[in-house]
Parts: sequence; C-alpha cells; structure tokens
Amino acid sequence: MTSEELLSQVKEAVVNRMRVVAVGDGFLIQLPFDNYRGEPMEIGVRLQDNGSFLIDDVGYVSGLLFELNEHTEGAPGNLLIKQLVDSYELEIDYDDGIITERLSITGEVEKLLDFIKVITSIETVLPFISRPRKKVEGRRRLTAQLSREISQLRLPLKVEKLAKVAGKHEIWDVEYKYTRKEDNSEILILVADLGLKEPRERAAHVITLASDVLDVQLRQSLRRELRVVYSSNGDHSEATRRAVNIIDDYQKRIGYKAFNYSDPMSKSLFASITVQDLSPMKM
Amino acid sequence: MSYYDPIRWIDASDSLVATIEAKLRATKTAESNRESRSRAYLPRHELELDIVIAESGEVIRLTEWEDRAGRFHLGLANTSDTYRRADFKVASYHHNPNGVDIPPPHHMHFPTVKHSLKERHTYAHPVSPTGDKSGEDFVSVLRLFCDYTNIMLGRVNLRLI
Repeated sequence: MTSEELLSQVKEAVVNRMRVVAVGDGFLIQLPFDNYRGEPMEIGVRLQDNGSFLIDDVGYVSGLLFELNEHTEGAPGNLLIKQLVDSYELEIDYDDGIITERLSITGEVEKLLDFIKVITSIETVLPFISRPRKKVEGRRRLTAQLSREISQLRLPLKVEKLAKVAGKHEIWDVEYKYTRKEDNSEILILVADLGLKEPRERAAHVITLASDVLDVQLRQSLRRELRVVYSSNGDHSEATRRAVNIIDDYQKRIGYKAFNYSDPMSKSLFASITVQDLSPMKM
Repeated sequence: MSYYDPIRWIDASDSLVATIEAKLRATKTAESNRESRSRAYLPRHELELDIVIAESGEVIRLTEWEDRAGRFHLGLANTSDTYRRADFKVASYHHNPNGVDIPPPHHMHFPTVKHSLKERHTYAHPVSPTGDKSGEDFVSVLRLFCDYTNIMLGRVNLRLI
C-alpha cells in the first residue's frame, strides 16, 4: 500500500463518514464513530432566537444509562456522567433527558469540540461500566458444590481432599483422591472451573497434569484413573468454548474422563459412578 | 408471529446462543410497569417492564425509550446478558458482521456465539410491521417488538403508556 492510498483510506474513514442530516428543528452531526449499537454517534444542533445555538446529545446518554440500568442516583454510570458534565460545565436537562450546551454563533469552536469529546467518551465507556465482573469465585463454587455432594455420601474419611499426587515429572494438587478397593484403583478427581480469568490456561493445566500423572508406572496391582470435572458457569465466550473443546478432545488420547458439570446428563453420570465407587460394598 | 428465528441472517461458521434462543422461544408475560423517574436521569419518554418467563419464573427486563430525533430503542436483558436490542425509525443501514446490510427503518440486534450484544459489531435482522403494529409510535413499536420475541402484553395497561 502506498502512502497516498493510506491517506485516501484514512480520509475515507474520518472525513467522508462525517455527515450532517436535517431534522425538524435543526440538524444532526453524524460523527465518524459508531456507538455500541453500531450506529453513528450524533450531536444535535438547534438555532436559538437570540443568535446562539444549542448543541445536545440527542438524548442518547440518558437512554443508554436507562437501558444499562445505570440511571439511578448513585449508580456508577450516573456518577460518571455527573462528574464529566460538571467538569466541562455542561447542562443536564432532567425534563427532556438531554445534555446540552449553549454556544454563541460567533466562534466557540473549542466548546463544540469539547462537547463532542465528552459525548463520544461517555458513549464509548458506558456500555462497559455495567458489564458483570468475571466470576472469580467460580472455582470455589464448583469445588464447594462437589465437596457438599461428596460429603453427603457420609464417607469423608475415605476420600482425601486436596491431595498431592506424584506424576512422572511433577507433584500435582488434585481436589479428591480415593482408592477403589474392588480393583485397587486410585481415583483422582480434578476440578477445572472455566469461569476463571483465562479458561484456556486452565485447560492447558488439565492436559499437562493428566499427561504427567497418567504416565506413571504404578505398582502392578494399582491402577490410576483421572476424572476431570469442569464447568463453564454459563460463560459462552469464545475462550471458554475453546477450553471446553480442549478438555473434551484430549480425554481419549491421554486417558482421563471429562465431565461437564453444567450438563445435567454428564453431571448425573459423574455422580452415579462416584456413588458406585464409594458405596460400602465396594470400599 | 410469536418468535422470529434469525438463523438465516448469520454465517454457517457462527451459531445462535442456544440458552438465549430457548428463553426467546418460551412464553413470556409482561408483568409490571415501573415508575422510577424520581432522582434519576432518564430519557423524556421511557418504559420499563418486568418480563416473566413462564416455565422458569425467571424475570428479565424490557426497556423502551425515545431519543430527541424520534427514534425508538428497545432492549431485552437480564443482569448479565442482553438477549435482543431493537432500533425503530432509523434512517441508516445496519451493517452485519458478514457484510449483509439491513435496510432502514427498523432492525433488531441478536447475539450469536461469535458476536454477543456486548460487542460493537453485532448481527441484526429487519423488522416488518404487522397488522396494527406499524412501528411508528411508542405503543405500536412495543407491540411489534413483543410480537417478535414471544412476549404477551395482556397484563399491561397500554393506555397508560
């Protein structure tokens, strides 16, 4: 690409996307930036009788606050708006739900640019203010849930919690370990909550741990079985989807069994085989 | 119409979010019309309804507001996810991520696995007026939106809106 072509593209993106549209009592300036709905951000302009003109946000900020449930006094979104409006000495019209500024007809371009800057910033930032926090407590919840359900079997002494397990190269932590007397198998249960900050790192940890602990040559009389219990906590992000795929895809190759705790069928299967293992007749 | 399936508007490599579409298909009832103007910064003309999903009892939030240029904006969301967002009486095209343009005046945004409604670039499908639901005024826009999302408005007093 030549510099002329690049310049042409930048001009196309910035200059040509600026539009002015006539509306009933004035006009709308359409900015070359999209709001979170994918529509151009707009500034309304209305001429006044006394030789001044009024610029406003077309009511978009109050609408956005309302839609995001951030409109009440004390909500973070509402506080942000008030602080910006105070700092830049703008007016809030509570009856009409618009932010305005009155400008004189003779050159107050700086004020117009400041107004555009404030409205653009608000419309960019607001949709992210009410975004729910990442579920950092998710792992604890899944672990706690499993703990509660296993303890209901009333055999806690035979199940080791937060056990250390020796792999071929490393010592690993797993949430539960017990021995199934029936066939002298060592059962390891690893909890992987994918609602954490980086689900793919968690999936990579599962794969590495599984490879290492299942690659150990145990005594001939002792087998080792690894069960991976994971949950996405309703997180449908691309990263979580990939993490789930990684854990599911590698189970046959490496030799562990994966159970999706968010899926009732898979959860029920896990519960069923654990109950069978821990029944008094088999212990 | 009681539910509009937007599957035809997305690429084969993408898919709809099954849990969200199940809630859209489910029968839902508008239960209340809250009044919350005091001590809040609100649009001049706005409406908020609790929508109850019949099967689960889950309550989600429907909002409608009008901007100063006379366009209507609606949203259907719970505390963490936005299920639908609609714009009525807009003058410009909406550009979908797959390059398809949705003509004015009405369109409804919907989430997919690759493009949730938290992102700026989202899919939308057109909304066509049906019967008396012309999409031209505050109440008919609400009726039209509910027609596409399987919401029954029977318990809401539309004359008070």
